[in-house]
Amino acid sequence: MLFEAQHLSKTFGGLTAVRDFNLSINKGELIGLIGPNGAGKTTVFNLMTGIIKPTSGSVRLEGRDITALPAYEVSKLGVARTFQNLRLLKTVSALQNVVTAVQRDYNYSFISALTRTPRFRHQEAAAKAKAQEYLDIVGLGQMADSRSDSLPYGLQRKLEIARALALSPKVLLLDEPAAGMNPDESLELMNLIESLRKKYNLTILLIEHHMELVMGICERIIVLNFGEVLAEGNSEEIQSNEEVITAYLGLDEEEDEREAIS
Amino acid sequence: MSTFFQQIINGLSIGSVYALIAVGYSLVYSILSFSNFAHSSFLIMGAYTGFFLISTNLMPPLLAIFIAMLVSGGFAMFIERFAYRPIRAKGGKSLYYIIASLGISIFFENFVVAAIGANYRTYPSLLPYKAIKFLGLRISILDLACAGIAIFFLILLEFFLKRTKMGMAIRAAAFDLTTASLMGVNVNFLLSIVFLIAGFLAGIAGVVLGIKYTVYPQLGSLTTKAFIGAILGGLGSLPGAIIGSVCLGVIEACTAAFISSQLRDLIVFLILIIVLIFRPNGIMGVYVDDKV
Amino acid sequence: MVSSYMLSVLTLICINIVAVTGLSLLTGFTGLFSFGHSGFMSIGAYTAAILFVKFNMPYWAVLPLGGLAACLVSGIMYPTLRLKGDYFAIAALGFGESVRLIMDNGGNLTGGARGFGGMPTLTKWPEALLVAVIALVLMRNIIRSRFGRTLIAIREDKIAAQSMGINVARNQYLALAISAFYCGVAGAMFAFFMTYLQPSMFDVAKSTELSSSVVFGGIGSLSGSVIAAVILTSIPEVFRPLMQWRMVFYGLALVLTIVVKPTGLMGTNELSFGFLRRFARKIISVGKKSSQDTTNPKGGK
Repeated sequence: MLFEAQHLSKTFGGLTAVRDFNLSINKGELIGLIGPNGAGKTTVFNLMTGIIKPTSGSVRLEGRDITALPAYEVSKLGVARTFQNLRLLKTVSALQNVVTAVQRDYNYSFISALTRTPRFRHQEAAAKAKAQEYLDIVGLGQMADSRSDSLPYGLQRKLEIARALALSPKVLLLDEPAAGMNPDESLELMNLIESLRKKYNLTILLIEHHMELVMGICERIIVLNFGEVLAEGNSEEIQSNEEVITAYLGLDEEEDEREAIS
Repeated sequence: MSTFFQQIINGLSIGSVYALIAVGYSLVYSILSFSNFAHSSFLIMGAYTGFFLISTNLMPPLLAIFIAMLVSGGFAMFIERFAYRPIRAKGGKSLYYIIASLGISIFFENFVVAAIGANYRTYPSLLPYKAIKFLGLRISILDLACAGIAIFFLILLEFFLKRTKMGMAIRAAAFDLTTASLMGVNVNFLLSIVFLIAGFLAGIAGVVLGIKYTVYPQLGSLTTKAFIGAILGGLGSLPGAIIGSVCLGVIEACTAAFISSQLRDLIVFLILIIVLIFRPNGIMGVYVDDKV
Repeated sequence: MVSSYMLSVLTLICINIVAVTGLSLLTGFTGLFSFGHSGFMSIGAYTAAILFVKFNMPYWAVLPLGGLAACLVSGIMYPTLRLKGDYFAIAALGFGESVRLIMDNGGNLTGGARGFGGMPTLTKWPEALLVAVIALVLMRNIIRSRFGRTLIAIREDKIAAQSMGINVARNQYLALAISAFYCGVAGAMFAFFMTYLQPSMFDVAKSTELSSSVVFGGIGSLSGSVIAAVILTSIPEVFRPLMQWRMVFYGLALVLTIVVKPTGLMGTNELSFGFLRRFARKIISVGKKSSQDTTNPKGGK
């Protein structure tokens, strides 16, 4: 049991965004979290990474209760995430974006930095090299010195993934990594995620709307609707689940019926 | 004991003027979410315009004061149109608004010093220097007039905000500017009106302060006290601005009388820091954290 | 050759460079705006002056001690860092004014509003230049290190920074403490330049001078801050008769910069050969285009 949420609930004023959410992720799994817009998926991510605190319930990493920890502590313990609306350091180069993440492993002192000691030089060079590696892996090797907000959208999304990878996470949470991509790009991303997972032996929790992506690579899928878990299972089970179909595709079904009749 | 009540009266008087200033400032904050430091310029504009118009003796004082209010209101609209609107068009980062407003306030205050001169000007006496004796306390006509004018305009504002369509639109915009605009509110027009009101109120406050004290370029520094009052009450809340300002006025008066007038200003700033450290959302408890 | 007046302007420029450089770490690189840093200058100035005059400590000891004093006092501001940007700026203003008022009421210790004197002119242009250069080099080293990157991340996106394991509050405080130290040192230098001190020298106007230099030069550009400090310090001196319009000029510069080019003179760029080359190329291409237009009225080849 690597990462788990137990009875997580979150209310904002009068609105219950998440109600009694339970999830257990084992090491090496790739799990999908799907649901209509506004179902509370990103809120679940925020709760599990410490960005917001739950109204009740707990989050555990390797058995340790991390519910009350601030977000940066959760990150240090090995939970990395990407953001639905991209949160890159815009005016900074792609390389520097990743270096800022990877530098956690290079802790030369303040004095070292001030006086430019050999330790500083070595660690800086090593950090840059490591960051370049991550950029190369996601296919951004050539764009290292480009300002991150000058990159095409698809590459920006990849950059965020590279940055999350640079944190050497135990668990990786991807919030709609393929948002705004066309089918070809999504397919490419799907393959990338799969290869990264194998290469780094990652445990991944994925929010997505692209069904082919989710059904294609996720071993287990959780469906969220109005903040509650609607169903859980593998892709076949989910695709044939009545409630899921109604929640997600109900509208289309009615339209099909109407068309058939007329 | 009667001195204590006397100070309360003094405090209420100056506090009500602070309230006039604070309300305009809080109104702008509630919609644009930034601290409009240029508010002090609106006040100075009103004070000087009123002074010069009354001194010319060309018109009845009330008309002069009304024109002074219009001028400061118009000035506020001008600032919004040419300084703040371009910033809003480029994304409206709160920081940029603050910097611009600070620049305007510095520019204007020093411009007055350089162009008109730093001497103190006294409003011709418009009110008798008498005082009413009430329950053993002396309440000067001047203080009564200050408080009365302030209360009058605050009631007018309340009426405007609660009973008119424009007022409702403003309250909606204070809640969420984007949503309000999506519902068809003409945001540019609305902001002009808001600044007009803010300028109005600051202008009349300027005239009142000019009459109560004297007119000088640093008169605008009294707006800092009003800002602190607004924060004390809860920045963005209009009732808060009033409550906070009045409380601040009373605290000021009591400090000056019972502790030391030197320490008066220091105490006020310390109150600011204490509030910001321990209860930044003020008396009315407004929401202050960054959105996630 | 070079008049002593010009040398004293140079000294003042160097003092301002130290202060502006410190503030740029907080405002430019960490994204926190402050209207109270003259308070730190004041603390540094008075500490240095008192230690020198009343305790006979040497010049080169009281400079860093002044910085240290300011740095320690900055701890008071720590709880206000978690507030929204506006609030911090206002808190800083309150802080600066509080310092001024405390110094005013300092009685025999600070001389109060009458002033505190007795310092010899120990900050001459060589000393000032030396300190300014050291200050700049150290700041550059901070910025081009993991500490600088952390601060920039905080400026760009606090949430993203947190998710990278960055303790935002602690790092913001680091930036504040360093900026306070720099301003404290600058204040100490200032004490031995003016040879007397009055609390009114460190008022909101001074804080605004510092902040406007950072904004004008470009938020996120060290060289921009330096250039701005040079320009904004020397112009009023050069145009002496316009002295009383100095602050009018500052205010106007501030507003115009923010409204027209919020990223300031240099934006986030640093002055370097690469920058100058790109800049030159841009000018040349603009020149080429306009000459093409005049020779080919119909455009194109």
